Amino acid sequence: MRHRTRATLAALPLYLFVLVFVLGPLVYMLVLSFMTRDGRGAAAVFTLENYRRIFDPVYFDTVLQSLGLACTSTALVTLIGYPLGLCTAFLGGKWPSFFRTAQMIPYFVNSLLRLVGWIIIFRANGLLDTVLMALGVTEEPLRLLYTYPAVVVGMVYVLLPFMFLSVQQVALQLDRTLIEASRDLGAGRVRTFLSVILPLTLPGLKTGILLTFIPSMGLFFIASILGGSKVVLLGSLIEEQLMRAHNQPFAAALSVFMMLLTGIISLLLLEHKPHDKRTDRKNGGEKSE
Amino acid sequence: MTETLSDTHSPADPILDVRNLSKSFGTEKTGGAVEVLKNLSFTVGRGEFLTILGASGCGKTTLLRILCGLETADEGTVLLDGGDITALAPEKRPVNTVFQSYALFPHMTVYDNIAYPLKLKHTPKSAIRRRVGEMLDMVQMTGFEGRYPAALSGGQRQRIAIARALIASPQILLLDEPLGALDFHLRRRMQTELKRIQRALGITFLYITHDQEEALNMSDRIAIMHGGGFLQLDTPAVIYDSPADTRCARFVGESNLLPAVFSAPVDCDLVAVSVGGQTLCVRRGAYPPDAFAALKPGSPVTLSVRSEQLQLCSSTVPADSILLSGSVSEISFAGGVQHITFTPQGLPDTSLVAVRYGMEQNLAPGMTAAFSLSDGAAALCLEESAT
Amino acid sequence: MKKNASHSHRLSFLYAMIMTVLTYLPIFIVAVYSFNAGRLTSVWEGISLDWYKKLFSDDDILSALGNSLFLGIASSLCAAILATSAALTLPRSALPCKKGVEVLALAPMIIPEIVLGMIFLAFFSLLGLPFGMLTLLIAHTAFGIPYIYTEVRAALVSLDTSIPDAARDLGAGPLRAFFTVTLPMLFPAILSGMFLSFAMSFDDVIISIYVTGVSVNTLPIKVYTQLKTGLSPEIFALCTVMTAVVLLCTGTAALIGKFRKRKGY
Repeated sequence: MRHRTRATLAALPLYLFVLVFVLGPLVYMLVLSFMTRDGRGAAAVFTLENYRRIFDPVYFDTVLQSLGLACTSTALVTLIGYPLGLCTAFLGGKWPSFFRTAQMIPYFVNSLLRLVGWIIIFRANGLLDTVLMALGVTEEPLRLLYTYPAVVVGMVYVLLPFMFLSVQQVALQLDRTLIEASRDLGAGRVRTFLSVILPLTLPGLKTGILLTFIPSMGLFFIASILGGSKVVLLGSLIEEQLMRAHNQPFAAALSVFMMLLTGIISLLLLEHKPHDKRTDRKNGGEKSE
Repeated sequence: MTETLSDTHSPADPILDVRNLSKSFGTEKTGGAVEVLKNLSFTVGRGEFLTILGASGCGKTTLLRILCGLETADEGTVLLDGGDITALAPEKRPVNTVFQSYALFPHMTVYDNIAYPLKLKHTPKSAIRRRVGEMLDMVQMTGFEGRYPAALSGGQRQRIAIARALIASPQILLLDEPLGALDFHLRRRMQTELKRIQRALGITFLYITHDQEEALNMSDRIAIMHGGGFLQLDTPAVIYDSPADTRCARFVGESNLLPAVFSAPVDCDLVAVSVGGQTLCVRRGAYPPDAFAALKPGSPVTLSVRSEQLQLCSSTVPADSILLSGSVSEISFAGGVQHITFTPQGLPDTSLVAVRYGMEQNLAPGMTAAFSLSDGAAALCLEESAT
Repeated sequence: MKKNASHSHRLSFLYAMIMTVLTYLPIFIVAVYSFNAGRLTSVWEGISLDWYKKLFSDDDILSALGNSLFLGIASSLCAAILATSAALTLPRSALPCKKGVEVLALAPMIIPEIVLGMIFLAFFSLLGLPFGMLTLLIAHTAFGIPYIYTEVRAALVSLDTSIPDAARDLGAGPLRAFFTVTLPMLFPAILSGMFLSFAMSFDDVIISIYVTGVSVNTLPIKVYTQLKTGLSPEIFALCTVMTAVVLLCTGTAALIGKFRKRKGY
């Protein structure tokens, strides 16, 4: 019995911290989303107005644009990152960890600072323009800064490591003899890829998509630095409502909405990996000491 | 179950006195409670090497954990040198354990591992250095102070674990299948080592194993454990010659179980039985007293016969013996010793193994052979279903 | 077959190398321009260390850096203490809704940062907390906890329980056994989690913007506000310096890893 009281005492700090500083804010956010705006604050008057407003064309356009940008970024990240993860995993030897470290190092340099490089490249008469014009490809500056494509590039740049690492990790665990067996039995490279490699690396792919899609809706600073006011994300919308319009309830409703979106998408993606759920349950059984 | 245990060599002044120990695990949620220890009582003498021999699941590890304090029993008491330690925390008991996995601290050197118990007692550094040196010398690992466990072989880790457990001079050392992970030759050597160390230090050893050869080789007394209790607790010789029941007989040595019919007691030690019509005197052995009292002329009994007691002979019966002849089913040669398996006439379901020394190959499967069994060689053995 | 294999091998390698170069390209460009004597990126005016000098004498940036370092270390430490003690004891404790609280503790890892920032801001103002280092610390601890918790949990699963048992058997009380045996064995996991937690904290822009006070600036916030008004070559110098620091740290970590391999755990 002494064990349990000691354990309880030791677990108490985190328990209380999480209840107060994680559950509290989440509950408050939910409550706020149903309150009415009152000057700079909120009045305890129940209303569904905040949620209705989300579907106003003005705002809903932003939601759609966010989703669109998220989809585009995720698609590009998948296109670039998935092959990258596979390639580096199959190189063998010390190469997988070399490339993993190589990708991780820039990641630890502040993401903002890394985007600065892209600003230099993209701005009018910046590096890209200078090179292209010198080569004679274009005659006028492209003015890529503050455009949608620039934001996409920024997103892909920041989020690539997540996809790459997830895929590489799964690919490294792939049993190579399965590929050899498939080739031995007569399947060509494409067929082997589709029926062996792809299905077995799917979990890593799914994780990567999850880790790319969800942040991409909220990383408003990428949009504001590379896209200016032209590209507005759901995240930027929340920021604006909170900081400039001082509309806490609406911002809360938008946040709840955003969490619902990401939650549904996560569930959709996780629904389709039944074999992972089984291994999770096996690995999740812990000792009751 | 243990009330009628015949313990012919119970120590007079025991260092460990275990009384009525019971322990169950599990609740309704996990499918019902399982009784792991059932009303277990026994004593251990000072300086004794007691081995608890049993198969996995018999409760021996639970017993060990209760004795060292890492588990608490549901009922019962544990007295160490007269003092009640039942509720005492493990760190306060003068009982140390050598774990099956050795449990060496991976982040400490060999020196720090061995010194750990003394550091906890705030022993001065110079004394620690001296004692660690003595311990390393005792287990023949001098010079390994600075190594880390990861750099040691299994046998070496084994010896460090022993040194660490003995340095604080505990009153009892518990050893949980310490030699299980070692290969055959190393195991044999370590058995001798352990025995030597135990004799030299005079510390009481409580040794757990499922290996019967190990038990016979090292112990002063053996406790055969099954289903949460002791079937028999006695010296190796007694257990070998007079197993209390057929389970014990199967546990130690080759079990030759011969069906017979009870006739009458001859004196306090011997009884007369009939084996296939022939009269034979057998020892009472460790047959439980209450079961013995229930025997009537004509009751079926089982005899335990050791292989070396079946002597190959010609068709004439030596005096004071009976003749068992039958068809040989198998002969195995093991370097100078032959094990002859045969089925005695009139007992088609019985298979007996006899031993013959020498490499003479005048017997083959299918032939008939005759063996003699003298009076007083076999012992009564209680027939128990092997649950 | 063999020719094909090495062919695809070379292609893979090429692709991987190209992507790596592209990843470092922006940083490299920034590094180059940090040595540019002139302000404009379109004109090269010769090599100069001016911007570095300016960087190291810019009090604002230096104090923001100090804040970020302090915040990162402090929040990692708090998160480590909270997460480790709970990871070890929560299943055995007598507290209600243990699984639920565990999920909540890990939630900050999956909740979008903007949402986290928003709910912290709203909640802290509700509680009337003064915005500044305190609120930053609470928020950063909250999102640092998941990283350490998951690492410690994973390490516990593969921990050999007979080793702490042995410590108790040999005479160590429960606390003593924990601090001299269990904790050292968990160190690699805790440190790895703390490292991630520090990195997340040091890099955080969004949450910090919301929960900080007027007077407290973290490095990312300072950089963000400066970037919104335009590029300054000081920023280039900062980026280059940070890349160098990260390279150094990674190199040291690799060396420590090799040293630990000799010890075998």
